[in-house]
Amino acid sequence: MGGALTPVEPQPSEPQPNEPQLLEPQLLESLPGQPPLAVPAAAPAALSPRAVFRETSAAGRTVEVPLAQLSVELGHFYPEDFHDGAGALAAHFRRIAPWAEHSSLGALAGAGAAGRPTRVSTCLLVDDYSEPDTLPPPGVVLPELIAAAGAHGLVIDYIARESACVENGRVPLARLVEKALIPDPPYGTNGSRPPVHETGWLCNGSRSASTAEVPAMGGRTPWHPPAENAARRHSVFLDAELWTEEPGPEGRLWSCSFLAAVWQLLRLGLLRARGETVVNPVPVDLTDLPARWADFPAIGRMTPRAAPFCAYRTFSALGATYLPVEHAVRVILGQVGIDPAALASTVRRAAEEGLTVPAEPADRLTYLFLSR
Amino acid sequence: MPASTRPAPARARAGPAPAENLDVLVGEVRTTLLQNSHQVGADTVARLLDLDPGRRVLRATRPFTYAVSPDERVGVHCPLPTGSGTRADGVGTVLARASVTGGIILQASARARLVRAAGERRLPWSHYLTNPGTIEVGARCGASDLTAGFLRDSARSSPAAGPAREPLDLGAVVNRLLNQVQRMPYIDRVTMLRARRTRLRFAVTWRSPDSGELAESPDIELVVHDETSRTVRLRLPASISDPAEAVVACEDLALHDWLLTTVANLMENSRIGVDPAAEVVARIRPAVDHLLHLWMPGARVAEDLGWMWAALESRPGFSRQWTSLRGQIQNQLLLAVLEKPAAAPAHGNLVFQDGVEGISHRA
Repeated sequence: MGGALTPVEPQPSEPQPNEPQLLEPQLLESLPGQPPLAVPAAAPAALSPRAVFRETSAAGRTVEVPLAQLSVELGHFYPEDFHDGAGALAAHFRRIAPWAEHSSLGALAGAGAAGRPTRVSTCLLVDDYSEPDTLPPPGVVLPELIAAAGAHGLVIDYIARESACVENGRVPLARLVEKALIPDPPYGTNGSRPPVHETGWLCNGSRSASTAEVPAMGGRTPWHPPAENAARRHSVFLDAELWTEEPGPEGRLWSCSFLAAVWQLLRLGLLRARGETVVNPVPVDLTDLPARWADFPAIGRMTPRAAPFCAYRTFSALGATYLPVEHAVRVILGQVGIDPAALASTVRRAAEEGLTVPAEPADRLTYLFLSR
Repeated sequence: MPASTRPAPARARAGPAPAENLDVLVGEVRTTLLQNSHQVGADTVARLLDLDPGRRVLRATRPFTYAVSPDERVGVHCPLPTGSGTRADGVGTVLARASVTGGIILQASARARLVRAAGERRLPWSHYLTNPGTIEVGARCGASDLTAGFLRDSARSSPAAGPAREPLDLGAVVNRLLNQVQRMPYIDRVTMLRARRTRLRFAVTWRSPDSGELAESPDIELVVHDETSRTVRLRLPASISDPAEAVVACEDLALHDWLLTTVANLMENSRIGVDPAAEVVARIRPAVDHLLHLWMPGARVAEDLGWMWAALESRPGFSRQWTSLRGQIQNQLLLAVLEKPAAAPAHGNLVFQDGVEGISHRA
């Protein structure tokens, strides 16, 4: 967000805390309740004394985050991945190792054919959310992961836990992203009603006629197919479940797709809570790992001199079973309203480095889907 | 593609026709009284306007307390009203925000900048989200046609249009926002004085040499349609390029117009010259307590839009009317003091405690 007067178009530059903003005093202003001594007229600037006045609380502010050129995700691990022994992990890293070579990442970072990215960080996500009881503790999982990756020349810079995409210890990230959703409007959406959406679902078009709404009496309403908005002649309609309401203390259970979308936004450095960053990697001491995942940082930094966690673009090497999840991620990302200042800042800073970064967050994602 | 006789700079771009450049800012401001028995403090205001956990409420204390919510973004894809009736569809987002001035006046505004779509096809939604507050217009209709359609007083076009043909409705977006704030638990929903919700629609264009806009067309046209509805048409020099400034200026205008409307209504209904001055004063007291000090036209408006108020001060003379209302109030206060010994020698203050119809005032 820009200043107190949010520009209709995103500003090319990052708003600074001392950005001049709305409260320029009118020097001719009268006392409250008095008739104006004179109306604020356009006095010649050269003749009138000029004052600058600002209030910090009245200025919008969006912090910059450190950015690498590319964030490489080396995998997304479920509890069962750790039950198959070190061999399964090693097999995964062996297959993706050739794709995570620096020399092959230049084009992915938008650096052109010859460019070699200088700042690449690697990360992976451990699912401690869907079945927290079956996941071995950090003291078991992390050494296994690091050893298996290291055996194939891969260095893991950051390890994050999936529950941190729900709530990172300070900010309810999933709720924040859900609040930022601006659903893709089908034709006829004129602002008169709040956006029609099935609670907990998000789609990329118009749903087919609901079978539940068939009138009890009279003829059946003819079925009409769902339609993708802005489809190229034929639709690929996708309806993604964002969450379910669970009985018990957990309450809302966020879907893997939605948390994966939060994860991509975190890696792209595009999330802010009240203008502040939500990415705060914490150095992890491998000799002193916590017994519970809840005590592990949201994002743990495993190598001291790692490039920043967030990056202009992301590259994810995943099993092909993640393809539908990532399709949902792209549908969700296409409907998240990003802080315009954060979005503009990434484009500007990349350009300053001679890199191209697409305007739309979903276009900054590259994938490698591995068969079994 | 029809051959154009004049050299068309737009030809270079991939587009269906050398359509004229389009840049119109349209919006609507609604102003009302916060439903609370008294002025609320800055912290409560901040909570009332905290509509998005991801973003901040912005607050100022000079020259009066003012706070504004983060912009809400609303996706739309619908027909746009046009003066000529030409079909024009728009797709994009509307920005809406709520603000509280002086802990007592609640405003909500919605706005969108209408620009020409690059092509006929609707693009993926993510494209429109990169430019919030912009609606891309597919048709070739011009700025004046869209402006005329938007400012036309009737909110609805034709009732026979059917749901899918209903045009852009910024008023609904604004009303929803106002209701959302008024329903918050931090206020008691006691009305301190009768005040109508006023509505001001605005349309702003920028003068450019090739826009074909007549040089003699006025810079600002303010039309009062009825007791609650106003429209403003602004033609700004190209140098004032920040649309946000124009929105603030329109919000400021709406606020002061509401103050005038509300205080004038109150005076009209206070039976001046009929009832004893003390009773009249009891009726107008909420205005004295909460509204009179908020009259500061142009205080939040950018310097290069200061001429807007200057122009409106010469005709119709907002401040003249306000000064006259203030004078009337002061006279009633004086009369109340003068009449006091005769009316109620021992309990002169009683009148302030009387419940008067339509006014519920708690000190």
